[in-house]
This record gives sequence, structure tokens and C-alpha cells, in this order.
Amino acid sequence: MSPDPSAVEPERAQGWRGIHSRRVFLRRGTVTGAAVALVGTFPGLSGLASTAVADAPSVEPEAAAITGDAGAASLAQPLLAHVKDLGTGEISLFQGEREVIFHDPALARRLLSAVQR
Amino acid sequence: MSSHREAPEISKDPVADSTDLYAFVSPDAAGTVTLLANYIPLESPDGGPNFYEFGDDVLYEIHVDNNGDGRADITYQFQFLTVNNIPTSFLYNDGPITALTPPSASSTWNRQQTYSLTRVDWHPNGGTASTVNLGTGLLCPPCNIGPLSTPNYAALAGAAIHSVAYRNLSAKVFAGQRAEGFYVDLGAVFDLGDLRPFAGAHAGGPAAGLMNGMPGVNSTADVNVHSLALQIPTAQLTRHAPTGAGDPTAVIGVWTTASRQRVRVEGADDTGGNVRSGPWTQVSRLGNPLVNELIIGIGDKDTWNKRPPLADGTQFLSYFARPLLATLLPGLYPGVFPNLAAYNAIPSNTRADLEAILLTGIPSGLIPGFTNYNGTGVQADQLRLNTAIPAASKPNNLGILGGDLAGFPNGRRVFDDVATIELRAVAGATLPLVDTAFTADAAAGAVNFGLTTSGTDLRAKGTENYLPRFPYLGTPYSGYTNPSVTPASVAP
Repeated sequence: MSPDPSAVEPERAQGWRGIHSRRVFLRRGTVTGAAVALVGTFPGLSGLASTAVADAPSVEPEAAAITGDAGAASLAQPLLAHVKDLGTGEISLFQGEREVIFHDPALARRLLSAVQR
Repeated sequence: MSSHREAPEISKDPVADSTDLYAFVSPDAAGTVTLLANYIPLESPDGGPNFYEFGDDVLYEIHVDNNGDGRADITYQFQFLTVNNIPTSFLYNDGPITALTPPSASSTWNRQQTYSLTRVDWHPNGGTASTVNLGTGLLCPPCNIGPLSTPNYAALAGAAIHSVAYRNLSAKVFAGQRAEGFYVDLGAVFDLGDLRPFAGAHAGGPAAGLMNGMPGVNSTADVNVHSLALQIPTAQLTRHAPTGAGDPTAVIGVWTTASRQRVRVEGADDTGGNVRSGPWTQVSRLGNPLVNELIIGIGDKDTWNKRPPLADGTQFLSYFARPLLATLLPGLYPGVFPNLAAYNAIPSNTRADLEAILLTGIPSGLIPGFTNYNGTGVQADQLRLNTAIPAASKPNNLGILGGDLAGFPNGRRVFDDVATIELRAVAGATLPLVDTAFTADAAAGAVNFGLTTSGTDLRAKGTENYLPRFPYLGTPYSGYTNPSVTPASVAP
């Protein structure tokens, strides 16, 4: 019995696509890495559950991508964030073939603040 | 069209747009079932230099429900990888393509595609029971360019038929360009439901100068599609070996989907490359022909594409119960469908015949010697094939309506006249099966698109080149001889 395709995380066989995607990512280099670092440098995001975000965001994408701090070094594929609802702080994170939804109102506000600068 | 450009959103994404689905007992390979899922509608054969190809960023799937619960029990997944062998060339090929493999291919064939084939078995209670990679790096044929670029195209395509196996699983597989096999007169039918042979009976026909007896025009003649083709031992698709044609375990429900990853970032790097991320989300679906095309309302068509077949029994059931086309026919052809008009006039009347044909399969007892009922009554649009009914020795393009139990809606063969069959069914030809008080109008058993001469005519114009063997759809039209624009006098 297959899952409902409207479900958030349908499990799909990756096959060789996972390898291919990784290679594409590695070829594409720092700009993609910057997108990863963008979210990776926000306190609380890496833990997915923290709501105690006090500091203003500090965006240093190139540095994070190149130097490969603990968060970036483990990123094999682009990590993308979609802030869905500021009120509830609902944020979807996309990486590879996965989507993870979590709630962090403070982080959602800070992300908005970052793009409004 | 069967499902070509049938919904507003997917019509702008042809690479992921399913056009036709076929499922039939292989007439020439005993003990096997053939499944064909076509994508990319209306390919002009001369559409270079960037000829048509599957999408590397699309997950193509063919699903099989073998226990009647409306959900997939088996899924075959196709994923493609395209390379430029000669990145500095602007051409599809720099010389004749005489083989799929190096050195011929890599030295002259620039844009080459391979794919992986994966079989997923789903656990009855949800989740993945097993995932088997049946093949990786499987070669696609090139598109049919012309006699200088793709000489002996049939042999090239033949080399792209692969036999794959892993332990007790096996399949014959092909993925590539084929000649379109579906036929319908779009120009007429989308001109306010005109049927050229009966145009004189149309409400607006005589005033427009139209008359009866005009021959049909096959709108999908002379174009190509891209086909995913599988030939699988029947025992690998059914849950048990059926005891006979009356055993529900003989029935499989088939549909195809295309999915894209949820997020796409355009121009994510300096080379203009894109990033795709997130889970696969379904954007196209096809089971029975013409369902999304003619049954589902335009405001729901793209939603329908994104939903599973189980949604048909709930979210979309009203469309099947009282299809709009059935209510329009008496007005379009005044006086021709009086019994259908009277039936439609009673608000509580619904079309249980269409619900059976499209959503559950036809129960036993309605058609002598036949059933493709799913055994549960779960409503879901699936192409249901009774695998215990052998291929017909003398097929009829009207399938079951023509007395041929091996044809649509018992699965679907490449030559089945599904547009006429469904038109007749919607017009009331099948309603007496479930409502003995209803008498079908004479026209319901006669209307057609004028594209075949009789039920035994399996060569509608533009479909003359079906193959008698896998993958059954004909050799694609070449760009050079493009029959839609090239006079026959210059075709080699």
C-alpha cells in the first residue's frame, strides 16, 4: 500500500539519483553552499526545535560555505527553507528528497527581518 | 485528447504530462502483461535541434494495485540522466548515429539519455516492503531525426529494448520515442461537441453548413510521444495465481504518475544550473483515458492530477455520477438522445455504469463471461485489467462494446478506439447494464469519430504502424519525413 502522495514526506527510492544530486551539488559550489549557510548560521535552526532565539542573525554565507564549519560540513545537498506562517513560525526545510516542518516563531521573524534589510 | 494537455497547469509542463496509458495481456508473449505509459504530447517529429526527451528532474511511475484497496502495491519508477557527449556542438548529433553505445554513440550522438528502473513493493499496511533496482544506465534510443542522422532507426530502437532481472523479478523495458497511437478528432469534438459523421444533426450544424457523413480527422496523426514500456510476467503483478477469469486476484488496477521535487531554485549557480530539493510531489496522473479530459471540471483538473486515485471516490465522485458531457449531448444533438435526456432530468439518477467502468471495474453478472471488478468496491480511477482473459485472436477496436473481452475497458490496447467507446458509454450505451429500465438511444450505439471503417479496422489514419511486438507502438515519425508537413512525393 503506497502512501498518499499529498503526505509531507513520501518515501521514494533514490537509486542513483542521490549520487547524481550530490555530484551536481559539489560541482555547483559556493553559491548553493551560500544558501545552505544562510539558514545554517541562524541560531536555533540546526536544532530544528529551538524557540529561544535572542540574537540578531549574522549572515556570513561565503565564509560558512568555504570554511565548512560543523553545520556546513555535513551538508551534502542544498538546504532550503520556506517560511510558511509568521504567526505560528511554521518553516519547511527541504533537503534531498526530504521535507521537514518545524515551528519557530522567533526564527521566522528573524528570517523575514533579514530579507527586509 | 486522451490526457494530452488536459489540465491548465500540466499543459505548460509537457515533460511531466502523461498522455496515454495502456495495459494488456501481451498477445505474443504468453504469461506476460504489457504496460505502456506515454508522456510529452504532440511531439512534432522535426522539433530540433533540441529534440524531445524525458525530464531528468521528473520521477515517472507506473503503479499497480493488485488487492483492490485503491492504493499501489507495486510501483515501477523511471529516472533519467542526460549527458552532452559533445558540449561544444549545437547539434543533437554530429554524424550518423548507428549504435547506442560507444564509439558510434559518443562520437556522433551529442544528447544522450539513460535511465534507471526501480521496482518498489509497498507493504499492505503502508510503507515500503522492498525496493529493487532492476537496472541502471539503461540506454534510450535517440529521437528519429532522419535518414542521414538515424539510418535504420528500427534497429536502433530495438537495441534499446532491455531485459532486466534481479532474483525472482524480471522485465523487458524500453523508454524512448514512439509514434503516437491514440486517435481522436479534436478539431471537431472541441468545436462544441461536433462529430463530423453526424454534424448535420448537431444543433448548429446545418446553419454552419455542416452535414452528415463527413469523414473524421485524426488530430493526433503524424506526431510522436515518449513511451515508458514494460513487459512483466503476470505472476509478478498479481498477488496470487488466479483460479480463473472470475477470480478477483486476476484483476490489476494500473495508473501512471509524474512527480517533481517540491522546490526549484532557478539559476542557482553561475552556469545557470537549477537546484531541486524536497520530496517528490505528484503533478500528473492517468488511469482510464479521458477521465481528467472529459469528466473532471476545469477548476479541479490540476488538483485531480495531484491527488491519488482514492480521491476519486470521495472528492471527485460527483463528476463521475453525473458527467457534464452526458447532460450536454441531448442539447447538442436535439431529438437524438431523448432517453438520455429523460434520464438526466431526474436529479436522483446517477451513472452507476460509468462508476463501475471507471472506478471499481465491472462486476460479474453484467456482461456474460466477463468481470474486471476489483473485488472490494473501493472507488478509484484505475485502468483495470483481468489478466486471466487471454489476448483476442480477432480483436475489435470497440473492445467490450464490440464483443471483444480483451479490449477496453478491460485494460487498454494500443488500437482500442477509446474515444468512441467512452463517448458511447457516456451517451448511455452501457447504462442498461445497471438499469434494466433504461433503453439506450439508438444513436448511443452508433456515434463515432469517423476514424475507423469498422470494429475490425485496427489502422486508424496515422496509426498504421503499430508493431505486433513489444513495445507495440510504432516506429516514431522521423523529422525528415515528417508526414504532417512533407509531401509524400519527397519522402524517401
